[in-house]
Amino acid sequence: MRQARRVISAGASAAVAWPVSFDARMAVFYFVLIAVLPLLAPRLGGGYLLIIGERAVIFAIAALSLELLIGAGGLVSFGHAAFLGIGAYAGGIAASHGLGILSIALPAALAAAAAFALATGAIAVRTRGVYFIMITLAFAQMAFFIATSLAPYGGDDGLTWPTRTTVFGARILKNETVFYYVGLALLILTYVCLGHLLGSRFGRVLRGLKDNDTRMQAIGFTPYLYRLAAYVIAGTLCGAAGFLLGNQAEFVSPAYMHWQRSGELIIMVLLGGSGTLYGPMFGALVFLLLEEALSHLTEHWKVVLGPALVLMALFASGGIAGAIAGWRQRRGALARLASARARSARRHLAAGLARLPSWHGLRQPLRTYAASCLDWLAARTPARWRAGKRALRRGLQGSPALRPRGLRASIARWWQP
Amino acid sequence: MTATLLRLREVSKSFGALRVAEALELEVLAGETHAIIGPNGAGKTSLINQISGALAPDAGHILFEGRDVTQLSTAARAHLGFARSFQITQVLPRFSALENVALAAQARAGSSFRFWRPAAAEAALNHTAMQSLAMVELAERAQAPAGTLSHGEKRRLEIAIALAQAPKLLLLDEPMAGAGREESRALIGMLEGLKGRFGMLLVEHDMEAVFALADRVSVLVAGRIIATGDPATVRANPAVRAAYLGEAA
Repeated sequence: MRQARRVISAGASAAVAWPVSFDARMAVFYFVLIAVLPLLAPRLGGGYLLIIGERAVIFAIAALSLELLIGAGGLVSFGHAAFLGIGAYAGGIAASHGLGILSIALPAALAAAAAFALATGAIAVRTRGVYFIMITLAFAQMAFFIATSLAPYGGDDGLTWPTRTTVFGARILKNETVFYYVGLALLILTYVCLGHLLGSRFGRVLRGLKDNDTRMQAIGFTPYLYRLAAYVIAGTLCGAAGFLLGNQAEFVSPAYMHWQRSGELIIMVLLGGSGTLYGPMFGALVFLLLEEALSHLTEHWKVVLGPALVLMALFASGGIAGAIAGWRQRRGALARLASARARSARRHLAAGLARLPSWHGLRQPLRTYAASCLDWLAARTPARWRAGKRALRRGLQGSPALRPRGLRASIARWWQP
Repeated sequence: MTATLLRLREVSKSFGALRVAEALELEVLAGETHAIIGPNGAGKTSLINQISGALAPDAGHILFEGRDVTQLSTAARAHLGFARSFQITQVLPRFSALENVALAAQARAGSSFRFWRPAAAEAALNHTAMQSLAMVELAERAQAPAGTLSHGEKRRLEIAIALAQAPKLLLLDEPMAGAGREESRALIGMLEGLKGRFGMLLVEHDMEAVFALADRVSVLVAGRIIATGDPATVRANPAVRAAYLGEAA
C-alpha cells in the first residue's frame, strides 16, 4: 500500500511538460538572433535587412497560428492566408477613413478575422483530411474574390494605407526600429501564449483529438467544439499578423489572400518542422531568406525553390526541427555507445593487468596510466564518435537512431520502403 | 428487485440487406454483469456501437436509467455514465499512459476550455489517474507512451481509462481478444474484482471468461436474442446449442 502511494506521488510529480525545454531554448536562440539583427544591419545592407527581419517576425506569427491547427489539431488549413488579408484590409480600411488608431483598427482587425473564422470554421471543421483542405481553400478564394471586387478600396490594385496605425496619437510605429521590436515583442507574446495553450486542458484535448478522436469521444469530448475554438483562435492570431503586415507594407492587396500565400504558410510550418513551436518560426525565416536569395540569383527562382521543397518533403519530412531532433538523438545514441564501450574496454584492461606478474611495483602505475589514457579518449567527443562508429560497423545498425545516413541511404530507403 | 440500468426497446439496424438487429430487446440491471455471446456476424459489435452512440439504430429506443438516449452523441452518453473498451484497442498512442487516464478524469472534472494552466500539473487529475492505473497494475508504466505498451497492457489501460470515468455502465467489446492464456486469466481476475461496482455489458468469444464473469447471458443470433438467462440455463438451452454450437436441436 505504501509502495503504491509512493508510485502515485512519483507519477504525479513527473508529469509530462509541454512544450519541452529544448523547444524553449531554440526559441530563445531565435529571439536573440532576431533581436541583434538590427545591430548588424548597418554593415549588412541597412534598412533592407530590417524589413526582411520585420517580415520574418510577422510571418512567424502567422506560421505559429497555422501550427496550432496543423501540429496540435491535425487540421491542415489551405486557406490560412485569408486571415492575413482580412487583418490587413480591416486595418487599411479603418486607416482610409481616418480611423487608423490602435484602439479602433486593431480590435476591428481581430474581430473581422474572428468572425470570418467562426463563420467558415463552423462548416469547415465538420470535415477532416482532404475535405478540410478543399473547403478552407474554397473559403479563402471567396475572400480573395470579394477583395478584388472591393472597388472603393482599390479592388484588384489593392489599397495603400494613408499611414501606419498611430498609438495613442503618436506616430511611433513610423520609426522602423520601433516597429521591428514591437513585432518581435508580439511574436514572443504569441510564443509564450501558444506554449501555455498547448499544455493547458484545452491544448491537451486538441492534441488528443489529433491522436485518436474515437477514444476522445468515448471519454466524453465533443471534437467539433474544440476544433472550432482552435480554428477561431488561430484565425484571430493570423488576423493580428495580417494587421502587422499591412502596417509594415502600408499597403494591402487581394494577393495577400491568394492560395499561393496559403501554400507558402504551410511550407513555412513544414519546412521548420511541425510539432514544435520553434520550428515554424525558423521555417518562416528560412523561407523568406531563400525567397530573397534565389530571387536575386534568377528571375525564375520558383523553378529552384519548388524542387528544393520536393526534396525536403521526401528526405527531411520533419523539417528543420526534425533534422535537429534526429541529430540530437544520433549524438546521444553514439555517445552512450562510446561510453559503454570505453567502460567495457577499461574493465578488460584492468582484468588483463591484474593477471600480469608484479614487476618491481610496475603494475600499479601501468594500470593507472592505461586508465587515464582511456579517460582522456572517452572525454573527447570526436574519440567518442569514432568509438561509436566502430561499434556501428560491428553490426549495431538495428536501432532506428543509428540507421545509415547520407543521400544514397535516404534514396534507397525511400525507394524500397 | 434491482433497478434497470439500460434497456433496449425494439432496436433494429441493418446494413443494406444484412440485418444486425431485429426488434431487439435487452435489459442490463444496475450492478449486473451481462454477457452477450453469439456466432461471428451476429451483430454483437454493432450492438455495442449502437449502445455507445457510435452507430444510430434504424428504429427503436435505447433507455438509460429510464431516459431515452437514442439521439445523444457518444460524448453526451459518456457524461451520463457510459464507458467502453474497443475490440481493437483505442488509446492515444503519443500520450503517456498517465495522460491517457488523466484526460478521462479531466472530461468529468470541470470545463476543458481552460487555456493557460498546465494540465499536466493538475494534481487532482493525476492522482485519480494514478489510482486507476494502480487498480489495473499499470502504475509502473505510467510514464510510458501508450503506443509503446504491449497488447495486454493496452487492454488494461483501456480499463483504467474507463475506471477514471467513474462509469455506471461499462461496455466491453471482446476484452480478451488477442490476449494470451495468462493475460486472459489476469484480465478475468481484474474484471471479477470490479463486478458489482457498475453494470457491465460484455461481448466475448472466450467462454471461460463469460462463464466466470457473467450473472446473465444473452445469445445473439442473426440480430435476434434467442435466449437470456443465467449461464447454466443458457448452456443447457437446446435452441442455443443448435444455433451456436451447430448441433442438431
